[in-house]
Amino acid sequence: MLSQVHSNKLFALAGSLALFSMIAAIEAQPPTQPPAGAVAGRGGRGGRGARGPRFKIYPEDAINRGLPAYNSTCGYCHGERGKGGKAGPDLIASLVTLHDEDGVQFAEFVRGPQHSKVVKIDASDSQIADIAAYLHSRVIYASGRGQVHVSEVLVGDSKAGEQYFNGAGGCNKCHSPGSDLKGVGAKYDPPTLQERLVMPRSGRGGSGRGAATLTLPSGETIKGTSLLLTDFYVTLRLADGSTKTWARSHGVPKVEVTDPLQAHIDIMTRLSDIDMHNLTAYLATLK
Amino acid sequence: MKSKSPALLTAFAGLAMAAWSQQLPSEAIVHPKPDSWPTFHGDYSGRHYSPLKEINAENVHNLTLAWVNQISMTPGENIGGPGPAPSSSGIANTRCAPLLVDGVLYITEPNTVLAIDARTGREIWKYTWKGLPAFALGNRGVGIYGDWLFFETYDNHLVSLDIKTGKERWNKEMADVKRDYFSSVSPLVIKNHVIVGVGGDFLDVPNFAEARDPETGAVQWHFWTTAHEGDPGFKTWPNKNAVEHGGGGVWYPSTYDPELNLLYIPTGNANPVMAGQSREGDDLYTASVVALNPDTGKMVWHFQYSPHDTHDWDAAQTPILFDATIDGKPRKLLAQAHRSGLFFVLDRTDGKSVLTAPFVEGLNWYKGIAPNGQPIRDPLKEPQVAGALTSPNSSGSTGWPNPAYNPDTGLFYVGTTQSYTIFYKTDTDAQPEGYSGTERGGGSVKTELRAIDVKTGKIAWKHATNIGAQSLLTTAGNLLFGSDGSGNFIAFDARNGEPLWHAGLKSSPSNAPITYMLDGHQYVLVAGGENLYAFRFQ
Repeated sequence: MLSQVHSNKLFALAGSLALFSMIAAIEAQPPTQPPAGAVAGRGGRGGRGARGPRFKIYPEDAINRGLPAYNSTCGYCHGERGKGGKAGPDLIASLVTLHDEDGVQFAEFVRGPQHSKVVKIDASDSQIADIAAYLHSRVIYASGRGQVHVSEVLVGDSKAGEQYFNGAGGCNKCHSPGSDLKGVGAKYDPPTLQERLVMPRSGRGGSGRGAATLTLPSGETIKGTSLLLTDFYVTLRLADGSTKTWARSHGVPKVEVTDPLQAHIDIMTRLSDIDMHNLTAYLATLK
Repeated sequence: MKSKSPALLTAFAGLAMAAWSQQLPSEAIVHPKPDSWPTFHGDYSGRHYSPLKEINAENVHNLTLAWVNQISMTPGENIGGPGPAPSSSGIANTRCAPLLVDGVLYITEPNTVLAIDARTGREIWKYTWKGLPAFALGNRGVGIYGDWLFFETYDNHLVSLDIKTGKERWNKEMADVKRDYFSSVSPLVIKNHVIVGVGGDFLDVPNFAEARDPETGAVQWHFWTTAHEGDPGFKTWPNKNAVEHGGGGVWYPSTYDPELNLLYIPTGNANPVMAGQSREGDDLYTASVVALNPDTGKMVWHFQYSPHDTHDWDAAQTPILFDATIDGKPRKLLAQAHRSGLFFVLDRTDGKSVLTAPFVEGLNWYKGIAPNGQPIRDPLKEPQVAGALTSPNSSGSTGWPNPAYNPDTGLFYVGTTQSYTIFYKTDTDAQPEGYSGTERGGGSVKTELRAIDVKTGKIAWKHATNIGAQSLLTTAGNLLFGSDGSGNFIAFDARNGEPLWHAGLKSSPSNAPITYMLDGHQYVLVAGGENLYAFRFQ
């Protein structure tokens, strides 16, 4: 249960939340729930992720029942997907929603004097619980990063992309639409195509991994795959599958690493958005 | 009235403090003793510079391990908080700068404070907070006022502990965890003010800094980092609703100039994070440094590093304070290497720009630098529905791990990354919520430790590493302590970046290294995940 202090604060804030002046044209987005706490990681702030789930996950069937119940009961005032409407505030940033568990606090507020004097809601406990489950799923969605609009990534000119592929981009030096890229447009969706044409591997481009040639002070050279390169040691995987580490000091032994994706690193630094979108459009035609 | 001169008041205040038998009188923060490390930054300036030089570039190769301590997260007898019983699960991952007072180190995890004997590495006491589910960012450490420690729990309580026993004195809720506020910053004690702050940028909350009374925890002043109605910055937002959901997290320890009596707070990014259509305008005071009077909370000036930020580039990096002669004139300066890849030098008396220059290559998100030193953003490089290939990525050219400034070399040291990513806007609604965008693909071209000449912004030296942003410490011994990101704790020559000494740790250094004198020996202390390592000459 909420404390009296919390309830007062909550009622006051719920009442004072700004009303949006219009119901915006809202594009359909699936109300999927990302895993709770799955918001750390890249772009995070040096933390370790959530300490326990931050949001209660409600059953999918309750959410699915809650959507139509919300639309018929609440949507007129609070807008599509709870984001606020002509007559009612945003229910996603609402303290009522955020402090609710299983629809209990939600029902208390909806049936309470503040809401009832504006609109009297005639809904059962289970209907309110379903609506709350739906709104909680919207909170989780808002706290995540959303999903790329897959169907709106193909904005480029495929012909111009083909020209870039065979011309300024120099992609045809390593790739061919008839061999390694055959069917690539069917294999990957547009954002994945776009992501992979920029850099086929995720993560770091300069970590010292790749084909390495090590030159000992004697002049002897050893070839392998660099697994780790620091100022103090280098570890190579050798042709026979074994790994070997050499101590290093002041750059000796010398190690030269060739990244097989160096061409992608180079293009990443000079690719314009127009060329990137054109290339994506071209690759999407390679079905 | 003449008798109430500031000098006399100061003298009285000093006497009162001495009579109170303090562990750490506030004067000891203004002028730290060699056997102490009294704030996250070691002093108020944020330089992470120590005048100690027993360990120096000529002899650092003799440095050896004094002790190592694996930090235990198992709760002890001091337990507080409203949540369920604490579990022993969880492995420490130390992101704080330990504070050192009277031979005792104080370190934190998001729900734990530990006192550790600086001579042996053994735990003296522990305090565990039973919190509610929240985003558990690494904690930056405690603040100390006299006999009291101050700690921000990850779920937004300010806890005061007895420095000798770790027993809780009181705790105060600062922000509602249900709104997804979270806390990570180390409180900064200035005179009789405990400066605290909260963050949160998942559900579009307005963030703030506060001064709290060290005795009672009561709020002395409250500063919204999104300019509320009545503030001149309000006009940089389209409406009240945008301000009240505008972000601006206070995630990072502030710095302070006692002579100017100005507190410098770096603020977080605007919300919704990656979609700016509901908050057209500069969105002050997000992604900025704000200079406040710590006695009143009144803002004296501000400078915004990334106006109308849509790339998640908070300004949660150290605003380092130092003095230097520029064009023949002595200047009081503030420098910050911002996550966006730009290095800013400001006059810290008034916030006017002295210098703006990129500190990594490849930045493509701005069109140029305006006469006032601010970047001119390129709207086409904001997150787009079809994707925008942008440098740097949201992690940025550097991050929260602290840079350092050495007055002997005149160099500003910072861990850097040249990175690219494709930013997508995922929420095209007129009123987007939360992150509203994402990034996919890309990668880094290189990661380097770099030294910036503060007078020109030019790179004086750079050294390849396997890590970008990293926490640094520099000393009068011409040393720069840092990491290669592959498990090694390294002493570099601060003058040229040459590695002079290293120690392979169980995992890479994870916090701000510190240094201090104890029993006539200089120590260097660093954490690598769950382990604390102390080095000295034997």
